[in-house]
Amino acid sequence: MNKIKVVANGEYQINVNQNIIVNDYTKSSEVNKEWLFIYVPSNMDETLDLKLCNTNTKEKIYILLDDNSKLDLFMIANKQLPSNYEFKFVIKDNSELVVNKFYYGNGHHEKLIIDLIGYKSKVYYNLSTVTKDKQKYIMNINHSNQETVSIINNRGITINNTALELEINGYILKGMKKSVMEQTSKIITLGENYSVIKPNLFIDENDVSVRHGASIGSFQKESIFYLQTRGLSKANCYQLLMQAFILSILKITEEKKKELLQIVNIGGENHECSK
Amino acid sequence: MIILLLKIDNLNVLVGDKQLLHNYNLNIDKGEIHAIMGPNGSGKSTLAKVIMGAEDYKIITGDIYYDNEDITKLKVDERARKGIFLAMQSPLEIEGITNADFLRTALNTKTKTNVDIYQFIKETEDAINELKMDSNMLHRSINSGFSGGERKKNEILQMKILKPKLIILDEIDSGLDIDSLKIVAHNILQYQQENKEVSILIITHYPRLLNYIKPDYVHIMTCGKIVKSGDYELALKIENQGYNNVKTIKNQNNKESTIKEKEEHE
Repeated sequence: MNKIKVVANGEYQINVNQNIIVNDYTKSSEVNKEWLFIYVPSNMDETLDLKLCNTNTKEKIYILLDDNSKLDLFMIANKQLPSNYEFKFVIKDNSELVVNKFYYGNGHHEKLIIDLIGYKSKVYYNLSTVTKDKQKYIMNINHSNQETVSIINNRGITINNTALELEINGYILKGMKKSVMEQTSKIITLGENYSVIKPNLFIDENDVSVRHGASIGSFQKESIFYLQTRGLSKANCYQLLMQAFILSILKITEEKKKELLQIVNIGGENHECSK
Repeated sequence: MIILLLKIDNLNVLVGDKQLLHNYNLNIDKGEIHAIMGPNGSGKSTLAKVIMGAEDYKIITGDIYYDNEDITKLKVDERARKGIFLAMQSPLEIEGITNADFLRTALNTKTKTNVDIYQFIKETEDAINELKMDSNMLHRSINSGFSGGERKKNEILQMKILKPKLIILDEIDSGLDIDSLKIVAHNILQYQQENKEVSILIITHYPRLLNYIKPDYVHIMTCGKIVKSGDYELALKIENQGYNNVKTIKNQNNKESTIKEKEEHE
């Protein structure tokens, strides 16, 4: 199992096989030492667990997938203090990046750029976040080649009357025919709603398939009633619905789901990132 | 010995500023099967939700007693744990919670124990077979992608696992084909035969279900109150004559009794 744990600002515990190369800045002219640089060479099919345990810091993470490669990336952040992240994912010809990402914690600001520069490059991006203080995510997805695919699913739960802001900007440039872009974002507010979703689609090509959906609201009263009629207390109902909401979009193993549930159910205090 | 399981005493219920139940009375003894029939909007489903304790329904006067206890102020889940079960007219789909997890959580909550996993699986698989359901449904999200018939069967599966004492079937027959209807009816009756003190309140538009689960009493509701009570014959007459003529229907078997008459008799 490939693992990288970000333990402090610029300090990492890296445990990866030879198919994943970390911080070899000769692999790209675009990236410098400010970034944690993860490079997946051509024709590789790998998984990587990326744990973001540092708090109150700025962090920059760059992932480059070379031709015909695949990376299944699981990211987890459990942070009690605010943080500021910048990600860039660059995907070359016929490569595929799958991201399943779970955030739990306080204030967070994140900027993500996904560059689909390769022909038939694909990204499947699933984000679940439980927000205790203001969080803002800006995502820019650039379809810069033909037959590129981006499927973006975001889910957030806000507690303590806090705010979650999701700005998703999808760009399909002229000539990038047969590209597919889908965005779905849902936010459940457990208190007052101060959240915002900005789904922006900038499309300069006719021969494409594009879809988006965005919703902000609370759990359906009918769902809570239904669960209560089977004997579950209201608190249990909320717990079950929260778990379902945040876990159902993540394509991860049962073992990982258990890890996430532990964070949600006990507030994350005993998780390895909090120690 | 207490034989009365449910007593609804002079209940008046509001939703918003609209009164949906008027001076409503109903007694159900242990082991009895009652059917409530009535046209759309007569308050049948309201009654089911009020017995279950739904929050949107405001009781302005009256009480509900269950097993000799006033449950009027109890919450939905408290009533459920005491053994009241509502099989819904339109069971909801809840994405992300598997039927197995849901059922096991509900059972653990009801029994206040961690139910043995092997016993749970065995019992659930038996019930699934008896209902002729696909065993894979246990690992799917609650009612996700289920047909109307599968959803209704899933309600009965939950009933069999949670083992209630009062079963309210809110239009359980809608969306069921004839074969599924027979299976559902058979399972409900079998459950009652195995648990003699279990009572059933059937809410339906049509007497079709009542052909398979014969009620001891049939009540006709219009405008939030019971306007006529009788036996199974009454349901058949309703089918022939419709609800518009309900007040002119006479019960040949002389079993017609209002709830008040029944109470006086007791």
